[in-house]
Amino acid sequence: MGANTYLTEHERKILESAKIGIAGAGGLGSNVAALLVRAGVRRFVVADFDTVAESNLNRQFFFRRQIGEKKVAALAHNLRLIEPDLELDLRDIRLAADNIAEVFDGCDVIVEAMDAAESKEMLLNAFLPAGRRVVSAAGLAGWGRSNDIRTRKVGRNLVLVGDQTRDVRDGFAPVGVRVEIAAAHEANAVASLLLGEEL
Amino acid sequence: MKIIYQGKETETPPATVGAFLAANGAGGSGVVIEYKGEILSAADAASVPLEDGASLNAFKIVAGG
Repeated sequence: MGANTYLTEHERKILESAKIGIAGAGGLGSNVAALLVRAGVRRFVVADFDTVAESNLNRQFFFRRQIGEKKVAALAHNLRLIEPDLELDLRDIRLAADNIAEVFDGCDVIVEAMDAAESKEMLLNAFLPAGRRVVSAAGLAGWGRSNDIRTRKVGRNLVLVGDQTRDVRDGFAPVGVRVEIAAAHEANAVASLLLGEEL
Repeated sequence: MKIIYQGKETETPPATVGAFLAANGAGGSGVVIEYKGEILSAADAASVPLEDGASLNAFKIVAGG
């Protein structure tokens, strides 16, 4: 039956057959993955080079006992607590311009869930000219202003989430509640793209 | 000429997309440019001229995740 018992058979087939790439398993990526598993997505490529740290626990889908574990492995464990029947391609790798196309080859939608603005731009430059569908986030730090976080369709293949303003480099902390709002926007955009729903 | 910049009608002298954005504080890297409904690379924006009535949006890529 899967994690989402509310799906129609048509929706279930679409979501279960899709393969979603998640670039980064931090505040955005770990929560996007959990939301999509709950939505009914089963197949993922998840890439992250990092390990779970105490500072991650304010916003990322990890637990205190997982501090020190590789994020991709810890996330796989946690996702399978929601839904054991998952196809996970875990990449313990630092994404770069020379490997990112291979890592996410065959993914129907790629979720940009990285920290650094340069990394976000690298991902967009790798996939948008090739006509790949990307959901990206920019501007999600700090407190309050929930309604400033928006989902926008940009061009033909990009969905951009965030306020495009609150930058962690300007002193805005990556606060869990606001990061998770952005993650939910990203996950909803992915599901909507797959199901042909309005964004 | 008039264009629709960030959803608002904006008067501008003839310019390339890149020059217009630079003059409006949205030039350089780290910006997603959407011109006439299509994403434009920064390199292409430097040579594509603004057209009267065209829509232009610029989205800043800021850090955090």
